[in-house]
Amino acid sequence: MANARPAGTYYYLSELLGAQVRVEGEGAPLGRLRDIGFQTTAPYPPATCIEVRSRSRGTSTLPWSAVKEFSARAVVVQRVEGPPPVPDFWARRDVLDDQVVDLSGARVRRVNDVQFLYTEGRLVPAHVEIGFLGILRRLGVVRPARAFLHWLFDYTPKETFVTWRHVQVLSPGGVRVAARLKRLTDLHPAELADILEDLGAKERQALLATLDPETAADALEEVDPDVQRTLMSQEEPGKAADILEEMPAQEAADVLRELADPEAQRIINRMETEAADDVREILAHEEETAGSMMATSCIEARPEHTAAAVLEATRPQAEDVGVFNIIYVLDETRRLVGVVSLRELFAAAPDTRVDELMTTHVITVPADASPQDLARLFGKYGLRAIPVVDERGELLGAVRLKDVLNELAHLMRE
Amino acid sequence: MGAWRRWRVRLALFAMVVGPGIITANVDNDAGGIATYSVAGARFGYQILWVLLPTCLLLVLVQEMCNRMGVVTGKGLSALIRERFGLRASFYLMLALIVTNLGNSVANFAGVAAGVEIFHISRFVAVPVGAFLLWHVVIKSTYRAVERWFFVACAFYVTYIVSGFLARPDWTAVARNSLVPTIQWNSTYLYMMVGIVGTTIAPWMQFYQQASVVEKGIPLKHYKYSRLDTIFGAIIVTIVCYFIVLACAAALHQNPDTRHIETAADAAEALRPVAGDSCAGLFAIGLISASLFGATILPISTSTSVCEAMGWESGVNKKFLEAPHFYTIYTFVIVVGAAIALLTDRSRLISIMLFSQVVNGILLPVVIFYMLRIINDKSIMGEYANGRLLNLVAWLGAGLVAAMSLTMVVLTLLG
Repeated sequence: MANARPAGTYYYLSELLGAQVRVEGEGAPLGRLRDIGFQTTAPYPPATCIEVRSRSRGTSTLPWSAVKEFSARAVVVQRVEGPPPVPDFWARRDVLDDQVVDLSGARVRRVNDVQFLYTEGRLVPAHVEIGFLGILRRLGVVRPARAFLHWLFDYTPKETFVTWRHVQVLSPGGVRVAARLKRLTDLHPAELADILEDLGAKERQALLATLDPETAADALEEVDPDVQRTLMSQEEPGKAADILEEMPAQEAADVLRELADPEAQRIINRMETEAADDVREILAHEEETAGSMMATSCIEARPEHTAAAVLEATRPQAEDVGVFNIIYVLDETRRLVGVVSLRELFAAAPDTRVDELMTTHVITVPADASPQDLARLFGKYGLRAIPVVDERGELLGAVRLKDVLNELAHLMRE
Repeated sequence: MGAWRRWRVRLALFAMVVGPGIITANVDNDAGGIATYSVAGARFGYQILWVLLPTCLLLVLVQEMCNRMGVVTGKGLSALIRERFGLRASFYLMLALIVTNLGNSVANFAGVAAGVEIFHISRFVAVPVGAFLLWHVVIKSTYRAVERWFFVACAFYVTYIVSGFLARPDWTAVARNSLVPTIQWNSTYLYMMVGIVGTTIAPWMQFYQQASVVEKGIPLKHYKYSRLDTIFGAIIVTIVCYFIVLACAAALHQNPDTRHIETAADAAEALRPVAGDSCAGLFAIGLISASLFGATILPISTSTSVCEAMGWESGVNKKFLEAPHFYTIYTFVIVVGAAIALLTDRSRLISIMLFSQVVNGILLPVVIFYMLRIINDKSIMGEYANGRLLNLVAWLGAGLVAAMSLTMVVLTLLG
């Protein structure tokens, strides 16, 4: 009965590949199914073409519209005119045995098999299999292996699926689609960083290219230094500069330290003047010192300003400064004479002068203070940021508690 | 830029990428390698020396390709094989790799055991303690830290160069035989020749070097420097082999009694009366450090390759729970390797080694074949695919290595 088609059938790619393909009404087979192409028009993209290979005639591509009957045993097609469509990705070439991003687990997975749903003449990918059972199936030993594992360990291996909605294919076509849909920008930067670390060089660069500089910068901050180095030195210097501008200067400096001198210079030269100056300033200090960890952008005020004036001046900088809740009070020679917190400014009457509010006993460190020195001071005084000053007391920047934590975490890993 | 500054930049770049090539090549001189070179020197004297130079060239040829694939693709060899040739091929390849690497690990722990016994330390103390320390260091640290440890281990190979001098070789004979090839047309000599090539170019090395290039994250731009690393590694290891052969040739070949030693520890013992305590002691220290070194790297290499091929998390930088498969396989190879080495008697150990050599010999041509297919695939390698001339040399060289390792298999099976 022609219309008694089941509601839907699931097929594994591994059982479909190699299925015999023949032309309707013709005896001799056309060849064997070699690959299936998909167009990413929906979360579950439909198949748009198949690739058939025969010993005698070589490889040919047919549009999906030519497919009349489809099963794991045989594919029946009819002859059609015109060029076949170019798919966004191929199931065997770009997905099977390759790395994909699992957006739900935010991990890179290697695909052991792909499961398709065939319904009403349409074929869509439903899941990718990433578990041990997929490996066993591909090896053709599911049954004996299952029996063995059950007998020995009382363990039944199960399918480990990632639903296709959460799968990001990493072929050039697949990545183009990802850029259009902005699927990856929702991931946490730390997750993106893990993904970048696990990918091959080509996939990594392609993925980075889909991210806007801000997201790329957030992810890059979290990436392992070795991978940072590869990514940045492979990236065109202008693009690398765009990304580094989006980072806090001390993080950008960390990345640049990993690069060879001339490479780092080329990138710095392409950065905006202000960002470039900040980075140069930090690079001038030794690694693992207060000078290399500090944020250079702080809110500054003069002793004679009023609380209202300072608050007003703070507003436009609020977005960009590294240390936000503390205002550093400087004299006319930029020497640090006191600090006042944002809370104190808000609480005070608008026309109170800053020098009436500020604390003049300020804990400071020189630029060469070690992370251990800083940790001790943070612990002792319960501070959130410590200003860094030069030998004549001029403010250079401020180290935040989290910068020290980062540095110490890094040192512990070493 | 002044000339000095240019050189400084180059040196800095080299320092940044150096490691994978030198370390891989040096581990090559593990217990099995040292045994082969010692036996070769003792049995055939200076006449076998010339084999080392062409072997060095073949080593560079093969390892350079892995290095290039690692830098260009950012993927390990087993991942590339999985992507290009599918799950089935890579699964059986990995199975064979586990078997042969386990055999090599046994050889290394046996090397540690034999080495410490020369200093009258019980193997039942040294092997478990050594195995535990290595296991611990790798589990607790990062790639950078492990690499630093390995560099220190590399330095121990100097002991062989010193012992080579202490054995007082006849330098004119050495020079002549290094450059003038002599082939003896008998099966033992041919077997030895093939054996030297076989231990110098082993399948785990391709997987290991490529994986560590990837883990180190060497940028494509610095490929030239990374290639230097490979060449340096091959040269250093050849020099060390050279002095092992030299020491044994000078001290043991003259005397018919010591000519037929079977292991590296035999060689150290036999060196004592002829070349003195210090020479024998250095030889033994070299053996211990090389064996420990090999015993660390082989399990890492095995585990990394398998995990990459199967799509499991891997890497020394990860914590145990982040990469459970990786550390399970790693621990398995160490524990089983050490246990077999401790609890099996000598004659059975030798047959285990022979078996692993046979698997090695069958695996190598397959790995090289896959490598050449991948490195010629423009969709993977782009402009870094082999050129026509290099390809000719590569297929010829690879064919030679493959033919030799298959000959080795046949000869071993025939006994």
